[in-house]
Amino acid sequence: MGEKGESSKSAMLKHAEEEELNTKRLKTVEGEESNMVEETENIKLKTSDEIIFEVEPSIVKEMVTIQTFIEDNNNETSIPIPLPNVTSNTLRRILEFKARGFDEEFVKTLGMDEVFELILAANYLNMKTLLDILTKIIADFIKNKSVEFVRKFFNIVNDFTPEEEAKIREENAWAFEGFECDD
Amino acid sequence: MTARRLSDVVLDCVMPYIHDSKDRDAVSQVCRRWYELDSLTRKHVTIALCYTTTPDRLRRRFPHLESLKLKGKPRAAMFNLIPEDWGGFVTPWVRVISQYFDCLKSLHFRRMIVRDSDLQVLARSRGHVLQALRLENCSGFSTDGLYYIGRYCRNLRVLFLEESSLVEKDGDWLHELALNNTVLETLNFYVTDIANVRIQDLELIARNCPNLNSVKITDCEVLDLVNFFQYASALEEFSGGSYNEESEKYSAMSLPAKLSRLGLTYITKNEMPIVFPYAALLKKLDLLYAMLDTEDHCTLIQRCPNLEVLESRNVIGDRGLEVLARCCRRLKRIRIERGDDDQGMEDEEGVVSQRGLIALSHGCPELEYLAVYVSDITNASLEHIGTHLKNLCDFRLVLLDREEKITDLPLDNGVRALLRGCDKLRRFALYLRPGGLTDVGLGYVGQYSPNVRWMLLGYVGETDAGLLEFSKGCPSLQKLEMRGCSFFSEYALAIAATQLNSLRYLWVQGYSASASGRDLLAMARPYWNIELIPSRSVVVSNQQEDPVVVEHLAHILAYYSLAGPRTDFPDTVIPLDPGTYVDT
Repeated sequence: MGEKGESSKSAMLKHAEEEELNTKRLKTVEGEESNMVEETENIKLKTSDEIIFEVEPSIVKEMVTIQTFIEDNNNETSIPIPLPNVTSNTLRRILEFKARGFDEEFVKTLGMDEVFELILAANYLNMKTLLDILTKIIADFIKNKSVEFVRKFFNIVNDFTPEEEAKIREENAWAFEGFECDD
Repeated sequence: MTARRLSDVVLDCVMPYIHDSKDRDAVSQVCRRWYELDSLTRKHVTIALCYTTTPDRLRRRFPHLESLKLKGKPRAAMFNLIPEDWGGFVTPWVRVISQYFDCLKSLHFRRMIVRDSDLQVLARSRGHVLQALRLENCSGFSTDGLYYIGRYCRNLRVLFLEESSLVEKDGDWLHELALNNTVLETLNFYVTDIANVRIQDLELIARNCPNLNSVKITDCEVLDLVNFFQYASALEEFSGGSYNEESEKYSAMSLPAKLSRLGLTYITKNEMPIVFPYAALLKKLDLLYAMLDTEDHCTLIQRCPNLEVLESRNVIGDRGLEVLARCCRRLKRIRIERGDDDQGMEDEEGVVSQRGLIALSHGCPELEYLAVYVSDITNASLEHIGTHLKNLCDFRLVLLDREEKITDLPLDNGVRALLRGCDKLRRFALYLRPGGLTDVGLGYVGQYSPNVRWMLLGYVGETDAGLLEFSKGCPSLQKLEMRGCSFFSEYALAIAATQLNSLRYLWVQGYSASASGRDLLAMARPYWNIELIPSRSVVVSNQQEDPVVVEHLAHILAYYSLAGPRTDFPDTVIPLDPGTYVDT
């Protein structure tokens, strides 16, 4: 949504930047495995804000959704594959995270909004390893937190009636307790 | 900046990673959607008292459980203080499990009454998916019920019957298990009355089940287990066996190479050397039923530098604890129980006191669990524990009545130091004698136990004032058990129960009971069930003496329950109905 305000010039610059980045990657691949160029042609992915990324096949392979799409279309890769649910910013983060070898410390530098977006994208792309890491980080974050904290943090409205809420709290506390009290 | 909103997709992804039940509880209270999602994805539930809810409530709330643990009788049942038929029947739970819980793989009943028919229903309806069945300290069933388990539960990985009072008819259940199972990992009928064990069945299990890693059995002759040990190459834990032959015959024995947890039953000094080649690898040693004296304990323990768990009787003595402190610096858990004097193992050295406790506190800084019966005690030793055992989560001390004169009573200051120093303490048990802790000391217990959730207090305090001071503290206390408190009135107990904000369960024995129990009504409130077990005479039959009549003092049991008062109580239990006492 924030991308709408971006000027066409900035968009062009960004696009050029992406092309340069991918060109570097392509050169590296060519330099290392020149006789394999045909099999390692980059895959074009088009994000929801119309930015085209060229991504190495080895990375695309982990995106089960995309990989399935490619295989279902007889490995046709010349046309950019649309990703209506993924913004360019998010895809860039995913590629960066991937390049860092799924470094959990990197994720912890991101804001929670970004992590949420990454989870949604990883879920859509069906990137299991990434999804596991990201969701575990969220789960760890709400560990030992109170109900009120969780509501506030995720901006969730409490739609229980006071009576319902009290009943659930009592049931949790009295019947389904969280730890062993005795031998 | 878009509003932070966790969509259903993100929540769907995150929820399976929230395992801790406390976190699950918090999550389920956030909003309706989270409640529903938690309900659908919850995999394990522990119900610490089966009367706090009902099988139907459980089913409606958590329809896809994979693992369930239920506890029944009060803990005091483990010390024969609760009537056998008090309650804790699994039948209504098994009925619902058999009809609705399609995903259930693991079932754990503790201190409950299980019938053979329950096991039959369970085996026939859930046998194909059941992977773990634990009947721990249960009663009411026989090997007939186990036959169905062995016959139908072919995917069972864990069969755990430890300390259950079951009736043995024959050994067919084990034979059936041996014939049908290829995935067993844990087999445990330790401390049961099972005697009719065919060695060939054990061997067959060991041959057919390559993942067998824990076997705890009754007292089979160890020499008969040579083949079993050969086949059970993956074994990591073994307890049981007996040694009836000449000691030379055992010297050639080989135990599985990966063995790291060992329980030695009935072993004597003469057979002890068979353990020496494996001692350096041992992480857990159970000597509760070993025939070893203090010197033997010292000899064995000094060979076990990697020990993390030790269970023994006080025959280990202070000297044994000093060896432990010197040689086993990685110790995390230790339990030293009272030995029976008539076992012939007790000698002059076989006592545990402040000397041993001080040694442990200095030598085993990683201790998390310390449970010990002592014959003597000082404030200083408790202060040492508070100073040095910073990882202690669970502390239990029983002062035996063996010695008339105790070096240093009351223990007010020692208890205060321990509680202040061990700030990770979650469970605390202090069982003393009159004069062991004054009202001031009891006040300290309340004041300095911010995280303690379970407490057992015996013969502590002096008057109602001490109890009331205690109950102003303990903000996290959920379960309180008290004994030997004839100096506390019913009314003070009731007020204390009301003041302890987190309390959900109260068991008291030996209080100053009034004729009508009326003063207990001061603790009456919605959903709070109160039960009385009046004083009674119990005939205890010893093997060597004439039957002895033991007077059991009156009990109070009170607990929260959304299910309301139960209906399956026996004649020995009197539910206290507030309505009965309302003045017209």
